[in-house]
Amino acid sequence: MNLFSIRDLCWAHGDGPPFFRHLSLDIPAGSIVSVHGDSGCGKTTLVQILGMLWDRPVSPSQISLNIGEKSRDYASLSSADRDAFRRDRFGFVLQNSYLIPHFSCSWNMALPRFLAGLGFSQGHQESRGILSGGELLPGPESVLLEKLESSASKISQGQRQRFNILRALSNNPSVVFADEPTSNLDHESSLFFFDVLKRWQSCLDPKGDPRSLIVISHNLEHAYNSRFLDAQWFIIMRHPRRVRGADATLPSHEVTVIPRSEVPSFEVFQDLVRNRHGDHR
Amino acid sequence: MKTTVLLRYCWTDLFSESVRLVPALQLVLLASCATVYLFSKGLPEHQKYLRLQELANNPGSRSLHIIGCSGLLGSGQMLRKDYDSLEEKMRTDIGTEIIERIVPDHGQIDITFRSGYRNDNLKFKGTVLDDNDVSLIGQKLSDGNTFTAEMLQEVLNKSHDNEKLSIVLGRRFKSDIPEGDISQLNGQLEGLDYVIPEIIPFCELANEQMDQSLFYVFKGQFDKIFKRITLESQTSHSVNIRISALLLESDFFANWRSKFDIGPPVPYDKVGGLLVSRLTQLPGPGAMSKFGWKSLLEGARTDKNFPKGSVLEMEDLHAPEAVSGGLIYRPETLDGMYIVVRDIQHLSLVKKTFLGWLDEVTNRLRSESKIVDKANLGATTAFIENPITVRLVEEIDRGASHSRQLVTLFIVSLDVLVIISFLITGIVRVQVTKSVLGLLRMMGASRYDLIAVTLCQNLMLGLMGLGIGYIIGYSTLILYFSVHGVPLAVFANPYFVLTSMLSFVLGLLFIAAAASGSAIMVSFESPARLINTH
Repeated sequence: MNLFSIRDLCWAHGDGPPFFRHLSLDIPAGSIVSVHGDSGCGKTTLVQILGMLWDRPVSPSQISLNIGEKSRDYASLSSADRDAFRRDRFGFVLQNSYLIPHFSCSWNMALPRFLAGLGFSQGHQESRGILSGGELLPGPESVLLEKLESSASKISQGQRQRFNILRALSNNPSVVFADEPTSNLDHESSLFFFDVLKRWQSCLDPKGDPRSLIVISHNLEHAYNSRFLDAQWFIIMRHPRRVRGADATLPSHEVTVIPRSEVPSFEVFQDLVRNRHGDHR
Repeated sequence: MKTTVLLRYCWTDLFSESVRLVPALQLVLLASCATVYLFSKGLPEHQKYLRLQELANNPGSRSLHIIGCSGLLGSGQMLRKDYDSLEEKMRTDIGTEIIERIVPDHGQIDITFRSGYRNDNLKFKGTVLDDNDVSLIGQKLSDGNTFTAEMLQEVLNKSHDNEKLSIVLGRRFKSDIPEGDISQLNGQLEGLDYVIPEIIPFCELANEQMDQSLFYVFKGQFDKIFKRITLESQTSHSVNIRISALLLESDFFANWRSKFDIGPPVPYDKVGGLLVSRLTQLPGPGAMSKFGWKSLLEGARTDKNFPKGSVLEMEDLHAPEAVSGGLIYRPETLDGMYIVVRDIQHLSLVKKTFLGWLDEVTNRLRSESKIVDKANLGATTAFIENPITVRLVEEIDRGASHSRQLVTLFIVSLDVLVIISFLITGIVRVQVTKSVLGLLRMMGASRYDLIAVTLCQNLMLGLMGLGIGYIIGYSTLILYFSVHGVPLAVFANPYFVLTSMLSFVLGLLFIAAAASGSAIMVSFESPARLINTH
């Protein structure tokens, strides 16, 4: 089953020319998907559209989401529905690791839970509980625990990224969109947090649905290596500059969705991403 | 919980680093405004007003040194050291009883007299120069000879040692000092404790100009003055004279008339606002012979010959017909008339006129065993003919006008600095705020949450800015007043209060409008676009 089905998507930033033209792809449910492509090719935009972060409506039947018992057409979702999805079903790890600067890390971590109605003390306890080890973390995260009550503006970028990841997971979402989630982390920390993400993904969500993890990454090793993300699917996007300007009836992007089984080695994967390989679709 | 979180965000945002710009900006702006004001408007004029006000508010504690004060109350007697005459003059002219007189050898006279209308004692202190000076000035003045700048300078040189030197030039100096010398004197007089600012107009006043000067004093916005009476120190000489002028036309006067059954009250609003605004000089023999006093005033009262509001010039209040006819003891016959004073000295006659009337009322009340507050009645006329006081009143009025300008400018500056700092801080903060709002929307906050949080955030910021602005502004003003010895009662001025309140409300409206605009604009943004602003 596909988590997202995109068919002939046409979408533009504001009143500008179409950024995506006739884009079609399927993203399988319950899997770890890594998204690759040159800078500016639209990876983040695509993920933001899927994550309902853009208010510009799409046409009917262009994007459908299969989560829970029924399929939902993005075009039919009201603003409140989209808010609810973002609040209850989605989690986001931002590329810039943005936290609310004058809230404590604990508050930032529990923010999705607060917005969903959780009490302050319960939110603090949950944040502390997560960092003390348990379902998400294999053991206590002493560094983050120490920083839990610090102001978010007073911690390092790497620590912000860690809290960013934990914030995305704190609300038990069904889908997590992570944009370069470990770009500010060292090797060991990256290993640790990819492991956290994989552990999270391997479990069902509170409603019994499989969880999906969609990660944008420029680090091919992180995406492919089984010690890191160990993605099950790869989405490779080609830069729009190299395609755009051609016939308007043709797709703007060249998007390839490849199962891991068709990528036998890291070298092949590298070639695929760098477009030196044949069509593996 | 969501609302609590959003409110918490707004609250903590108030203490974020960018918001700390607000007070800093406001301080800088306020300092700039103050500097620009002081350079453009000039501090000395205001200081003069402030000193005057202090003088007016503390008449018993200040010394008024009078030098060369021909034409002023008792000055001639002082110059001649004729203290008996001085005492008599004070008793007869201003109804005071001298209870103590000190005439030290060094030529300074301190006279403490019991006010005719107050229970406390007032001090009147005059400086009598040494024999030579007295001789010089007294002779020159009394002989009507030219009083030169050199003479005045000589006096000044001898007087600079006085701890609180006040100089009031008498009328007889008016055309005796060449213009160039006056300019020179103006410069030399600067820095003294109190100087009647414009020597030239004061000295050069011809009768007409003098009338206008007095007219200014007495017409000066009675309704406002009347309201101020209750606010300003009622122990002030100047306030008393305001009352005396005011009583002639105010509702207060009208109410007294009604209360004591001495004729119909004068409806203040029906007489065109300015009732008996100019005190009188009687018409000449021609007018008198033509109309006769009674018919003249009756005509005026019945609109036949002298419609209400017309100017009645009385050339001689001494006219026996006027007095003996009792007409001027019936002030109600003057309702609606403009009565012109040609000479300041006639004020004393006017005073007697109305004092007589008031006495009549008082006596009647006394005979009827009604409550009589003689003190209040007497207060209406004391010092009325004292040109120093008149001049002070005029100066204070002028100073008040200047002060109103200062207050207006101050308040406007406050608003401007609040608005500018609000806008600048808003611009600085917009990126941070937008990305936080995007973050909140990303985590499920709705468009309406964003509107609420932006509105709340901006209103809080605006209120804080407004609050800080006013605290800084008013602290500065209080400091300024303290340094210059201005009583803080100035803040009770209704003009000040109203202007401040209006300004505060306008500031709030502006902030609310700006906050609403920001909220609406933000609500149209997609979460992704908001996040991407970071």
